[in-house]
Amino acid sequence: MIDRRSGPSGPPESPDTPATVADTIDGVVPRAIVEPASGEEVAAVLAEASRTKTTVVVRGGGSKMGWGRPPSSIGVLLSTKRLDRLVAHEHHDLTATVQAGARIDLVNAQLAHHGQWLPIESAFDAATIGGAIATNDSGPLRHRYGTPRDLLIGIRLALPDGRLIKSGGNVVKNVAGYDLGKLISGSFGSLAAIVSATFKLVPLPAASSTMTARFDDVNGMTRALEALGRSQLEPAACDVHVRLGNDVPSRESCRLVLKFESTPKALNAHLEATRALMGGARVEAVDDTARDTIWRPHLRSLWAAPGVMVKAGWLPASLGRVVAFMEEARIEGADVELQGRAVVGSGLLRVDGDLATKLRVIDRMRARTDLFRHVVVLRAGADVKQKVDVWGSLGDAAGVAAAVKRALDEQGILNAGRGPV
Amino acid sequence: MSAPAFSGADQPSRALIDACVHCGFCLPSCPTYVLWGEEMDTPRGRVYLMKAGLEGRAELNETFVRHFDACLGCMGCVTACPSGVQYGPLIEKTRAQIERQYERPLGDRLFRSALFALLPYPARLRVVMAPLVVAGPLLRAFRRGRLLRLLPRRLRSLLEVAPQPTFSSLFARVPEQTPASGAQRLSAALLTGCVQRLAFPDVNRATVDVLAAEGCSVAAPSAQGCCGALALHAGNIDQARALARHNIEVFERAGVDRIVVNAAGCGSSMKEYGELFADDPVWAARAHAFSARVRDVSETLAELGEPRATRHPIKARVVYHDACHLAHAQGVRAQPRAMLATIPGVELLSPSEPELCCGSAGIYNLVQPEAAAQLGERKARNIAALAPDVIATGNPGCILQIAAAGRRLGHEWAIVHPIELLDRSIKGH
Amino acid sequence: MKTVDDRFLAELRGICARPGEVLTEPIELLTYECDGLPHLHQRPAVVVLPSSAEQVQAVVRLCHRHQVPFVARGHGSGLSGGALPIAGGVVIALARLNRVLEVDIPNRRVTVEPGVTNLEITRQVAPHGFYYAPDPSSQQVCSIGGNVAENSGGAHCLKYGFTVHHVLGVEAVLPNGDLVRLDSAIADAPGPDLLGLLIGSEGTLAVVTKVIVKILRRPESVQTLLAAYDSISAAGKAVSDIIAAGIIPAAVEIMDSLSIEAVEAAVHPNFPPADSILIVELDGPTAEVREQFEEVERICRHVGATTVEVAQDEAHRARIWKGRKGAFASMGRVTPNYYVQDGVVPRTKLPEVLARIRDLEARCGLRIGNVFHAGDGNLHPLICYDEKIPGQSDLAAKVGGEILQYCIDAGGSITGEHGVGADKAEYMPRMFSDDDLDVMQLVRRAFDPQGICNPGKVFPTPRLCGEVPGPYHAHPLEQAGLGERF
Repeated sequence: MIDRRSGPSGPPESPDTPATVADTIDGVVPRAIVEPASGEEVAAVLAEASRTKTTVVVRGGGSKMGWGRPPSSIGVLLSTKRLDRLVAHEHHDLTATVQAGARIDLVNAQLAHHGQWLPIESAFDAATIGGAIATNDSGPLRHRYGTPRDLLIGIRLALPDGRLIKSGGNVVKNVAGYDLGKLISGSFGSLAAIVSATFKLVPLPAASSTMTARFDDVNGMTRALEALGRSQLEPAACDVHVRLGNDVPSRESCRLVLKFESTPKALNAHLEATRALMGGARVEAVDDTARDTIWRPHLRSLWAAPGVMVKAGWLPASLGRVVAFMEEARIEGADVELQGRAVVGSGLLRVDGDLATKLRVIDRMRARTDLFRHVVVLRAGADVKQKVDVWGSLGDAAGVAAAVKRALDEQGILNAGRGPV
Repeated sequence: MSAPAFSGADQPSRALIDACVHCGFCLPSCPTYVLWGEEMDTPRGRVYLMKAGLEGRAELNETFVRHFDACLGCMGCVTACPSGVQYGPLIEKTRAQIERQYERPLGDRLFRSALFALLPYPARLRVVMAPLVVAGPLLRAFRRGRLLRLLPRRLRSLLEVAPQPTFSSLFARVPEQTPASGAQRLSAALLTGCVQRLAFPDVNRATVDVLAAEGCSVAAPSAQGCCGALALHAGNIDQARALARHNIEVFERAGVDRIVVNAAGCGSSMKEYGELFADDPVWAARAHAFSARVRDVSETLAELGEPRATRHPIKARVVYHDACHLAHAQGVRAQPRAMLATIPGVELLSPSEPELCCGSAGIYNLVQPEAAAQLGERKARNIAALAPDVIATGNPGCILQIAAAGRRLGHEWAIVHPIELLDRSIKGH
Repeated sequence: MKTVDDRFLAELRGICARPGEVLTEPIELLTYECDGLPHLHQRPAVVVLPSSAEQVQAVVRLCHRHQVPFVARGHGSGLSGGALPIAGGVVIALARLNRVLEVDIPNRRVTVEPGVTNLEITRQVAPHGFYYAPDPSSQQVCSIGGNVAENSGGAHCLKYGFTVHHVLGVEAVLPNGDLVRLDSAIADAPGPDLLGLLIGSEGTLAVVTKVIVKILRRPESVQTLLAAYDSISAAGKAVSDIIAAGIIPAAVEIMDSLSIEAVEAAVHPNFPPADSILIVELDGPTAEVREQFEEVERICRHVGATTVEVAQDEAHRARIWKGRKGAFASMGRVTPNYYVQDGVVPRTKLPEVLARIRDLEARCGLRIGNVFHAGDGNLHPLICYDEKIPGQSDLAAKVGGEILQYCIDAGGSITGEHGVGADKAEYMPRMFSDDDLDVMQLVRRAFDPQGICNPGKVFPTPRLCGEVPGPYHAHPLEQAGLGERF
């Protein structure tokens, strides 16, 4: 390991590992990269950085480094690559402790040995546990399982002042002390570095099927959703996929994608009942117990396509108006695609077009406070980021968030100004 | 720490107070907490004050008295309490202490003295109610008008809830002895009551007729007096005991299986005579034996078994209001409903918030008119939401209170005792 | 930190000017001196009962200006002394902020003031086939504001999670008097999940004036069974086997013989005679529930239940739950006083910890009942004592502390849902290091630099000379009538 305990004398003169173009974040190359092998080492790096007022950005799998404001400079890129272990899996208690740099898919491969898993989803194969918590990233199964923050029961953090602390514990039910795990969720590495986290797990489903319903128009889709809402069906995921663009036939524009997890017998009953609610849609169901053939491809294709990626929330009953908004954008020349959780009212909107179009759509989304909430630009090129603050306003939370930031990161070294605090 | 707030006989019992674990489950069931949201006016808060009084941490001052006066004595808390706190004896003894030790303002004292010089004595009450016979139409007009609002609050309340007797009702009598029709299943004696006897004699007549039709002989000893409930619930414990002793003697002489009551407050009080004389070696056993024979008329009907008399249909939406002293104090909820369910054509409904007192609570609507009016309105709205044809409830105080509250909302409701509906059904009216 | 004085009171009366909004009478203050944990009591200097968020904000601003400590209170049903007043401070009683502001069924959310009870939320949406999932046993009285403060769970939290999983946003008054709207991570608010931190912070970071909760569709099917066993370990084995079968019940509860005795006397649920009782409830789509329930029943019998009762209808199910939910307060029938603890252990460590508790019971001479959320290892030991017997309150506190130590030894927690409050603050250093606690306090100071928002709760405070932790007992001067705590 790179020994960062360079002692109290002077700033790191020569970086232990030179950064390369591959380590660029929004066009900025970090001056050094470190790969600590333990929580203590992480804490030491941060302590040193605080002392020398060197900015630090934490990186896990590097899958989401473009999410944030462009930094002006980055002193140290702290990679969690070597913190990659599944520390403990108490399968009788349905809990597991994982280091921050562990890849979600590899962790789940190990948990599967006891028929359990950690229902955290990412569009990106390289995604790590730490990154998932820091960004509170989630996918369609959020409908049933929630986001990483909902599954977190304990956390170990390294702070800019060099301390290693924990909050929560190893048991699912625990209200002792402040839940710093929740505080860190969504903080994008701007308050502390995650060392390890403990989660509650769920059993792997006995069987699962994914049903795709293609609608001729959005009204058919919203009607089907309403019928589903009035029913007693409980899908594990209930996604709405809408793709509007001049090259997209309208009959292909609206889809409901539903995942059911249950016992094999009950599964059939669920699927039949759901089919009956889909009205005139073209319905197809696929058994994906063994292998996912639908969700990952959808996510991949979403992220592979060009344009800005905007995360937003809406009141679930407003879905029709969300699609109407998208249609307006399309008419003005944008290519827009939505993949969202229909019942939660949250998802990703991809907007492609010329710069003016993209900016206009983002602006309008933020102006339409009657329709959208918490509009955050996750992926965008430098041209967009120059004109738009990716985070939007934090609202009333801004003052408190800033106070918490000052308390935990006095020197302001974490995340090099990329935000959200 | 100073001296305990209580002294002498009839203090709230430490053992009963200790049953309270301060969990707070009683709060949502307490009408005064529902109205005001303050801890002093909750059963938990009041028990805490009793405990503090015993320990010398609280003195029996104006504030103390005010919070106990505000208690309706509805026993809603008893139903809600998982620890089995016997709130009834606790509030009765605390009120007795207050009446004995605390000097109320002159106006209050006079008002209360007047009430308790009149209400428990039918002969006197008859005299006072006589003008209502003549003034009936005037009273009705008065209530609809605005002048009412100019009167002092208590007088206004009195006039709003006052019954509308007729001459014949004031002098109505129930026969001294009514035989059972057919083979006798049970023998009973009826408490004819005070306000009930004078304002709602039809309830007594219906009670006798229905019981007789169902094979129960009914005695109505003319020597009987007031059961003492109002006095007991207000803290006039000595008056309550005097009245109770008289009735125990009278009803003992009747020598019947059951002492039947058709007024919830009276029934609840009489079932607790044992507790009233707990410290009296002479009367304790007699009082217990008496109480063991007391039943509400709906309980007696349930006991009699299979209905005998044919019920003719009454097609009506009937809203049944649970009187607190039947539901909470006696746990009688199912029997009146079962009784009404034997009438074909009746659509039986319960209002929302059925556990919440209507505000009658003995003389509460006379001494705490503001709170009583708010509770009355709440109850009336819940009832109005069901669009009743008729309202049935087993307590005269509730009938007067709900009628007044309904009138204030613009409803002239038909409100009867369930036994009256059953009586009409049997007689084919 | 300062205390309430006459100038403060005058200004307070300016904010809350109607009669009965500001309480200063000694006997009225007396009734606010404790919450659901009566052995910890402290009379406040004043109680204020605001009726609106604006009034709450003005009161907090006043406290901030005068540096006077304040404690927010719901309906006072908490079990950790979270609403225990501060000497010389203010109690802000939120019982009058009890309006349901908006019921939005299409968007599955309800907006309420903090004084609305947990059960009332369910009542509001029940006609539409919805309910509010977190169900503490005190739900008929506990306020949603209190639930937010404690991150309350309840019997069904095994499947449905806690308050933090069901709150979409709040409006709250910060200790400096700022009124802020905070959305939670569930609503995808960007940035650190401040609301997630606030929920469960036990009233030390803000006073909540509005809560937006999410409601769920009532499950199609609910099936409940009650199984009687000759021993707790047998009941525990059934639970392990059910979980090992990959079934996550909606609720799994175990009651021991003492709590069964109490509950039978109090609410008459007609439980079968047993050393311990297991209640398992499954809910969800009928097809699924039916299949899984058969399996659960089979497992329960296989482990050796002496009786298995399957609830045949809603009334039967309600009776079973009434028995379980009345467990704490029912203890009042078998003991003059009881002290309920709230430890958590990993489920697999339950048998070992329960055995240690049995030993402790034999050694200390106080009876200890036990009711627990067997699915998540959350125990509620009910330590019976009589405060009138000298030394028993102290013994009960010591026994409680020892049980918490067993929980910590087993890798668990000192509190699963009741909160640390004033009751367990002294045990925090056994679970967390000085650094852990110090950082939490750093965060606290970011919200409350003056330290006036429910101070003295959650984190251990330096003890004054002669102050002994545990149940309150009167100082000799108080006993002699020469002094008063105010």
